[in-house]
Amino acid sequence: MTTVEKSISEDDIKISSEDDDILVDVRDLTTYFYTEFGIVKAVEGVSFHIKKGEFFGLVGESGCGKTVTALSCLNLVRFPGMIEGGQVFFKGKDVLKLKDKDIRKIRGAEISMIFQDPLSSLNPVFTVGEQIAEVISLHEDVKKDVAKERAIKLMEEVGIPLAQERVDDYPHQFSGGMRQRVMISRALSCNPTLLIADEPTTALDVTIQAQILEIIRGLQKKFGMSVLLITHNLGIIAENCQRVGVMYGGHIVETAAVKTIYKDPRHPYTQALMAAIPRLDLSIDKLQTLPGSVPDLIDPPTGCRFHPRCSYATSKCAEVVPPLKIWTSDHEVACHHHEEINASKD
Amino acid sequence: MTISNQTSSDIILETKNLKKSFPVYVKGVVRKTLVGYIRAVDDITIKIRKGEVFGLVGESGCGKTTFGRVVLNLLPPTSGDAIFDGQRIFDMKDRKEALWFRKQAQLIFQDPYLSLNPRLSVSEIIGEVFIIHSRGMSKQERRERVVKLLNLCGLEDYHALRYPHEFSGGQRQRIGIARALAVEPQLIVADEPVSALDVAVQAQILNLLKDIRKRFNLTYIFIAHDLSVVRHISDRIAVMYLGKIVELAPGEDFVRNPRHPYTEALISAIPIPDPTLERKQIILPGDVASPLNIPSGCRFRTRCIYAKQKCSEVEPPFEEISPDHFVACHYPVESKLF
Repeated sequence: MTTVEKSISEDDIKISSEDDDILVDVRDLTTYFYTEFGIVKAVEGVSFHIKKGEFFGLVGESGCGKTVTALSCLNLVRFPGMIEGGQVFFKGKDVLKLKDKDIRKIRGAEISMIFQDPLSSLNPVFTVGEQIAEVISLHEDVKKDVAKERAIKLMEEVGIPLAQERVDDYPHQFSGGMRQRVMISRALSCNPTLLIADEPTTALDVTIQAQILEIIRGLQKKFGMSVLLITHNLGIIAENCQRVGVMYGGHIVETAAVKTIYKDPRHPYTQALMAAIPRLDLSIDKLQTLPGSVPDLIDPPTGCRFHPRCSYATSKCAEVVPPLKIWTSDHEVACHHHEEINASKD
Repeated sequence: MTISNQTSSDIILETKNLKKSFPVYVKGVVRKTLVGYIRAVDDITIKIRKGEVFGLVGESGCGKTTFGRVVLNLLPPTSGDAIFDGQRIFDMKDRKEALWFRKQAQLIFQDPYLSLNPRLSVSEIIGEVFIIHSRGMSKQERRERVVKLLNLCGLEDYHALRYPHEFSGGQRQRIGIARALAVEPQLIVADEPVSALDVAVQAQILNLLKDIRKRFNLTYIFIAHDLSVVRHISDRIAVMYLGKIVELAPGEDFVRNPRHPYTEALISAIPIPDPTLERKQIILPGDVASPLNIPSGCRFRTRCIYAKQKCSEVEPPFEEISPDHFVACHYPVESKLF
């Protein structure tokens, strides 16, 4: 017990003295779900950080733990889920150790979140204006009409036409793209320093997706907030993010600057993922495929979770979980053999 | 295949002024009143060539699925005609003709979870096809054919006895493909066959679809909203907007040199996984207009950044403006996006 406490206090010191530009530092995050079928090891030993003002992407296939990671960062995992271990430092404080009362001050104010399906995250019986104003009056001591005025301003900010009139409309009167704008304006209502966007455009058409991403990019520049963007689309990562983490089966297998990872993906999974997507700008005869399917996280493969599908796997891969190791200054890889695999490239 | 000298035998399916509208009612206390029609497919005239992959893209609600259903005679058209291999398909009334057409043209569905009967085993799901289309086939032969089809689609012999819930999404889509292939069709309409799948599985299914097309010399109408996927598999691509095809061109030409402002914006809106690529991005204003209330003249003009007076008055005809490149626009753009 004492050793644990000691290591935390060391971390605390480290974060406040050395890395002033780091906003969120996730270390060894582990979240399990206790279901009737067994323990789902959804997220295990995940570590990454997001700098101030940075656009960070988290990419992976469905069920790889992206959303659970994001929810864990806000301590929002609910029964049967449990955060088993790890720390999430936000501005130097461990979010997971905060009291309910204190974390509520952070949620929605300093860290806010938008979700994939805007219809199910808006309350159908309140007007959108009331729902935006609710967040404002919850975190700040303002009068009702002031909060409503601010709600209108926010709706204008995200490009909702006729905001003055539409503020009294209900969610069902908006289109999908407009609802997502309402969600964004609600998320922005207290000037967050971190915006978590969980697949914000997956339910939308491409032309609307382009609109929404432009709004998020614009607001990020304007207010200097950090963004954690969760998506399965490598194109969205390439066009929006500065750094990216690739997740597979509850582990982060590679993190790097976006420019680096697309030029030099080092983990076999990242490589396979990139070779499997059809490209608009290139004509590809045959797409590369991966054998097998995504691992069952109730009984995940031992060692490297990717080893049963990896053509380079050795006996070591089945035994030892490869740690996320620094390769170059902005590139970390969790693979025992990435140096040999990429030897011909280097 | 030369473009200008097409003989009718090169064409597998032709639609002439095909229209499909759905009435929309508002339910009142006493009666329901008709408030209008959704023109889901609005006057489409195209020719689909034998052996090609005809990609059809568009945003949700543009009518691409309705088009696929109407040309398979699964939905009756409001007006217009469709000719398959010289036969007018909407005239087929008796069972024999209908069965013949079903044998020629099949459908692969989007959702592999909903398109397979959960109470039948895979051998029953596929074997059912032979009971209907090849009467008198022995049980033994039927079993052999099922296994052969499964192997063809990358599944194992023992999978025949399992039930749909025992399979992953990708495997279920393989079963759906095997079922479509069972009648040895000439034409397959694939309606969003990979949009429910993750990228790695999507790649497997796309490769499978490509392989079997080559092997059996099939024609596909490949419907999807993901232009990257459509471009990967298609020979020609058509883009739909509010019930109409606004541009049709060979794949490479379509992506490199779009002429309709909507296509241009659509292509520029698709994120490309290459952070070093510098390109122009056009962000369309507003939402798609309601299909209940289609704008006058050019239906795209309400979102078009180049719209002029004429666009609101005259509906642009769908014309061939360069060899094999059809566009419905008064002022086609010259665009180089890559």
